[in-house]
Amino acid sequence: MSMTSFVLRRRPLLASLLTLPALSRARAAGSEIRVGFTQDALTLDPANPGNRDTETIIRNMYDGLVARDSAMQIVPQIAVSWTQTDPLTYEFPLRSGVRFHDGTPLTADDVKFTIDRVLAGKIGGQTNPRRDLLGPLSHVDVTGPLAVRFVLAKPWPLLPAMLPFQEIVSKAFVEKAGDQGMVSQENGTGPFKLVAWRHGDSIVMERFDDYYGGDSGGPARVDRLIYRIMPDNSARVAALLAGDVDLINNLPVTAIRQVQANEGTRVAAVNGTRTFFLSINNAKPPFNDVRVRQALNHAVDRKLIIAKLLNGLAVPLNGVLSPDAFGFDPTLPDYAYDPGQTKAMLADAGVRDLQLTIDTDGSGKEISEAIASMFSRAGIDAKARVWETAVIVPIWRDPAKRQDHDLFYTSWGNASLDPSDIMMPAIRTGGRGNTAGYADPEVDKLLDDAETEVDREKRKALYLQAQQIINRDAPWVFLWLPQDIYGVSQRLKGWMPSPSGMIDLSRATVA
Amino acid sequence: MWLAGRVSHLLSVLFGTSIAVFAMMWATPGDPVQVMLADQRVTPEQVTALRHEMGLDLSLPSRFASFLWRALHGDFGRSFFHHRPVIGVIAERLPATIELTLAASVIALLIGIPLGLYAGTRPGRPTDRIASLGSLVGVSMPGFWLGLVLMLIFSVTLHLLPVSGRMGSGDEPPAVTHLLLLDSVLAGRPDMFATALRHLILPSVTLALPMAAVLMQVTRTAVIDVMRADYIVFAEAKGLARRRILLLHVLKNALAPAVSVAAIEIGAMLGGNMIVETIFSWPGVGRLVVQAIFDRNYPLVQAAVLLYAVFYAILNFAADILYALLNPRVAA
Repeated sequence: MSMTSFVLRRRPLLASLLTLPALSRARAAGSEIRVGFTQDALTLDPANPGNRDTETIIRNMYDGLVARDSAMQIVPQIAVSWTQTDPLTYEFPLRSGVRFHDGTPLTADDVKFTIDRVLAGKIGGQTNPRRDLLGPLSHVDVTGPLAVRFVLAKPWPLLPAMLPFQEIVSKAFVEKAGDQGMVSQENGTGPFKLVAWRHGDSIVMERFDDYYGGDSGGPARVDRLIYRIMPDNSARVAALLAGDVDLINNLPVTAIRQVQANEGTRVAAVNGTRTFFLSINNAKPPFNDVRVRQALNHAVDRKLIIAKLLNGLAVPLNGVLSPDAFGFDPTLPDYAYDPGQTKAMLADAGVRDLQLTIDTDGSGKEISEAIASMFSRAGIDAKARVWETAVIVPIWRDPAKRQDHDLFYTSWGNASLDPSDIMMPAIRTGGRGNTAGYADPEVDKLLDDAETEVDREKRKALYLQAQQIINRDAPWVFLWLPQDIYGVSQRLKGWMPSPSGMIDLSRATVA
Repeated sequence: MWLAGRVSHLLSVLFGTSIAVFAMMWATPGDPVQVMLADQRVTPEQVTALRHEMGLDLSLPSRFASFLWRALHGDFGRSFFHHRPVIGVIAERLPATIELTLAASVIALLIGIPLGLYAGTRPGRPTDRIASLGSLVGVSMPGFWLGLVLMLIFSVTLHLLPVSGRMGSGDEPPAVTHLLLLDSVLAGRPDMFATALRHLILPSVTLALPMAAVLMQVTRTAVIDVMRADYIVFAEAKGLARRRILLLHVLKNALAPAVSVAAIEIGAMLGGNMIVETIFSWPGVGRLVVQAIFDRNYPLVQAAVLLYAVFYAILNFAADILYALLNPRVAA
């Protein structure tokens, strides 16, 4: 159409804008799922997504050797199965007929290339933190056109639990596109392929008709999948209520009732994988006294905070691990809420007129203030101080910088649900996330032994023992594990939330 | 000669801005590496290596020198978080901001100036009072509140306009200018034009109303002043038509201050409006840059601030020219 005819037609067009009230909700031809999502992808390169939200988006286009289902079981994707032939060796036969989105067949060489690329430790000249997700993996051997062998430098029972984080790329494609090209191009084997990445706005995908179908067979059920980037909580909820999107992540607790009350929408929640706690500065008197730390644990009414501030959507914890994690100890003694006991224990420890400050970032303000007022009820002069994340986190991660600080409201994620993944960084002496500065040689030894123990039951026993000691030593005020909350349109069927945070829509349909 | 002076002025502004931004970053605590790594599994060696690659282990003067040297060669560095050059990351988001700014400016000018003229020619009368009160409300209204109220009324309740985004889930026209309205016209796609326009209405109105209110007040004050001038009294005495007096003499002379104010307001809008962009999920630079500040993504912040300085310089330049056209004495 030429410019003139367009201009001539403009008037009726403008008039029609106001007379088509349903246009914004009209569906394009074919079925389409729209997800209202908090964050845009930082990159499309699966070798270094940088954060979980980015990986969630990438996972729609890329499959791994294995994945986690909504019950967090490790299920085969590109691998048919896996066998551990000795403590250092895993064999993975690969599925035949798997194709990349450019039509080329996947071979064992692509798998080896994918893992080698991460093992190299650098992507595009920059250190890749993902290298550490492969632990002591030494190399991958190609043992057949559709078979690979993973060889470890030392025993590492975590390998299967950590492999869902690796998505398989095409060797030929990466060699052509380069690391820089991989940032914005896509050629996976997953259920959806990229149509357009509108930065900051949306990521448009369409069904990959040659999808082998993961563990349940066949291509995706819908024609198109769109991630719409909506960072604002109210805007995301409004889009769901208005029918603009079918699924939103991070449904704010304050909007749960509204979404439940609305006829066309529902709430879906699942245990998350992130443990929340108050890190106590274990080096600073009087917090170096275990009685003081235990006393603080008795001063917090976790159940009340969960009921009032988290809408009941969290599990109280008496330790580090999620109830869904491998080796979780359900028998850990409970620190019952009892301000009287706190007072008695503090008196017993010879601590009078205890003053403390809880550091938090903006997101933890309300909860930290609630905890501070509970401390006050136990005779402690407590207040909360709000910081910027980029400021307070480096302070608490540095023993010298945190020496004058008391408590820190924080969290640590455990996406693999394996104890090693959270205890090594957050509990072991000198760990990067050990902001409490907890240091117990016995726990360290148990954790180190568990790192290489290949016998599942023995390994579990080591973690059970460690959890009892940690519970007793109370390096933290143990808090809770929140649920991940989604708002879902009633039109959307065949989808379940997963603690992994991945959104698998390959089996989902819209009515 | 005059142009050379302008350019050297711009360069010194850019240099001064760079120093100021570096100084502010140096004075602000925070660590991008810890933000980036969050709670990923990493070794201390990897942390050290990252600091080195990101240039964070250099002293402030050497960081500044290296930034200047590379900037002079057109290289503004890589975004710490996006794994690609910051110029590309900003360029991806700039068209959305420009389109929104243009739309909001047109709306603000179309509302603010006529209203100011109308109210200024009737000072103290009820119509003037209503207009002035409306403008006061417009100036005082917080953007996030206005945006949410408009969204609740027109999107959630009435379903008249889309909640958010630039094109929703629809297809975009082939990218030529990256301004969707213009690209839809170029592609001859009235359907896409309509979709883009519908998405543009709420965010641009939200952004335009406060600016319109300021413009209205400035214009009104200027009109009142001009109306008192001798040449207007003389023109009226001469019996010139009121309409002719208003358009030719009053408006032309009263516009000068409005032009200056508009230039500043448009310059600010080109920096992106984090609040409006967040509420309407508008993929502009405001959200990007604010996030970069929180993340301590230094290269991105640095490049963005320089860009803002360039925008202001260009707009001021344009305003000066307009000013001179409106008031030939300035140019002399």
